[in-house]
Amino acid sequence: MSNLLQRVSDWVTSTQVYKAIFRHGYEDTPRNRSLTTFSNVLYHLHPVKTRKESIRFRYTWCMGGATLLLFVVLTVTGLLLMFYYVPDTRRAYQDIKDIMNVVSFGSTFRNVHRLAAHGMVLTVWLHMTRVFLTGAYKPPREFNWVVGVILLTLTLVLSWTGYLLPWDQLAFWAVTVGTKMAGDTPLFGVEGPFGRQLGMRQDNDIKFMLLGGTEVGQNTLIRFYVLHCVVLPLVAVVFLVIHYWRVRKDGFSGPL
Amino acid sequence: MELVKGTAPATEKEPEDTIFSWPHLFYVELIAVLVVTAALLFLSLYVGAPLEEEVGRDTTPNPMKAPWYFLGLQELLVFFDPWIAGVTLPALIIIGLMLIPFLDTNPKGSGSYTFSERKLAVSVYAFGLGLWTALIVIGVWFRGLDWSWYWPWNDLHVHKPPIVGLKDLSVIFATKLGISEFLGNTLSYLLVLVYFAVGLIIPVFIFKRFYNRLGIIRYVTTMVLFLIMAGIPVKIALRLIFSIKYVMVTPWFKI
Amino acid sequence: MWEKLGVGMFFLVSTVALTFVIIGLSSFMERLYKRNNRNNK
Repeated sequence: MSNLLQRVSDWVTSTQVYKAIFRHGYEDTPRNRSLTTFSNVLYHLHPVKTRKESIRFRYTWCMGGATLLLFVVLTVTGLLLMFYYVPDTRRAYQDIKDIMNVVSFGSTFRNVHRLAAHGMVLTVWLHMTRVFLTGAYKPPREFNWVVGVILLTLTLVLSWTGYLLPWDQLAFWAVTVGTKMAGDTPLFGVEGPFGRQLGMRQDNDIKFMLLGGTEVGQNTLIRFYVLHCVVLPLVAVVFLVIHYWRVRKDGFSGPL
Repeated sequence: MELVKGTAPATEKEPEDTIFSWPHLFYVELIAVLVVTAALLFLSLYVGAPLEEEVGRDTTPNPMKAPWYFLGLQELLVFFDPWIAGVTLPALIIIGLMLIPFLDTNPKGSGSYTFSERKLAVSVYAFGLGLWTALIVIGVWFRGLDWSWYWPWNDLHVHKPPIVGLKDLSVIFATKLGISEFLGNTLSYLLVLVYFAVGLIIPVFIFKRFYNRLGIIRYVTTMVLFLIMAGIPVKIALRLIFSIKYVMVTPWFKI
Repeated sequence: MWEKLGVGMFFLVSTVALTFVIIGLSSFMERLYKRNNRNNK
């Protein structure tokens, strides 16, 4: 049986189609293991060899990987939801109802999206705790920790902007409370300490900028939609790239 | 720099410490992807995304609760003004987190789990995280209508009496000590100043090694951030025990 | 009065308990790691 499998595999790996896609064979040699990693566009983001620590669940808790996976899941389910949702205050709520009740698997995608969002906040938090407890922020990895905190903030802001989109009571009032706090920002909010002294008014402070007006309305919805679906994911990807780059350059942590 | 014969460009590490990414790392990643995706799909059958009624500008849900990861901040709103609870403290938390690698000068424990070699760092982090989690727990399960305190056995549909009789610290000083409002105000400013002064100066003499290792910039930054963080439970205690509303009142802000 | 005491105690107990849970986690992982290292290395 294994002889037959070996002969089939030898034949497949010698065809032109195989050689066009994969520039290496399938033998189990160190050279081939290296080739598999750095001739593949996704694999070659990893180092050819990695520290033992990086695959030990007891060391990493796998939280960084889980966070990235949840981000990808959120992107995929988010894109699917984008086919059915229009950020117009006159129809946003109805669109959500359609997704939940009419669209095939719509409720599954929305549920997965919401679960993955809350899950991502949790995994990011656990990842930060794990990195702290293993001291993997100490020199030379200080800057990657800072990038990680930025990613934490982006995760929370992504979650908050997404919260408004269903345009239900929970969404509306959560954003009202949040933007009221923005109005209370020191220096930049009209209601905050020293705000008025710095020339902040109802129509030019940071709350106005967030809302696109003086109250939560259509302008706010489209702003949060663009932030949630385009701007923040792009910014997050930029910081993720830096985050992985630093892990490659500084090496995965582990005892020296 | 020297050239050695080897299979990987590793520095500072012995070759025995590393393994090939293909197949080991990628297999582990595949398993992780499958497990998490399966868990997500399975859970989504039982945990639905909520959808309440459509936006009604005249009716605010009572209680209006933020998502759970923001409930820590919303709970702080009970004890601090919005500009502190909603803006300043979150900003300080983020800045404080970012500064951790630059304030932690202990070289031990890099790359392994250890508590015995990093007691101070882990304890401070645990305190911050514990406080944050406790506030979330309270916000999720112990707050009900009008954001009053509800024990698990209380009826969630019955309103609780509002809290009355909260007084500013300066007013308490003025009435209890029989001095003018202005003097009471000054005394309250002094108290806050003394809190920070004592917090900054005392450890220099008791924990001399700590101070010497950090140097003055790191020391002041660390202690100021720590005193602010420790000040949160202190203010909560003052509010609950002595019904103190504000510890410090200025024309521009109140703490 | 008892209510306020209860609330205060709950704040205190929950904060302290969670703090010690995290410290305990760090200490537990340390012991787990040492045990693993002795077995593997």
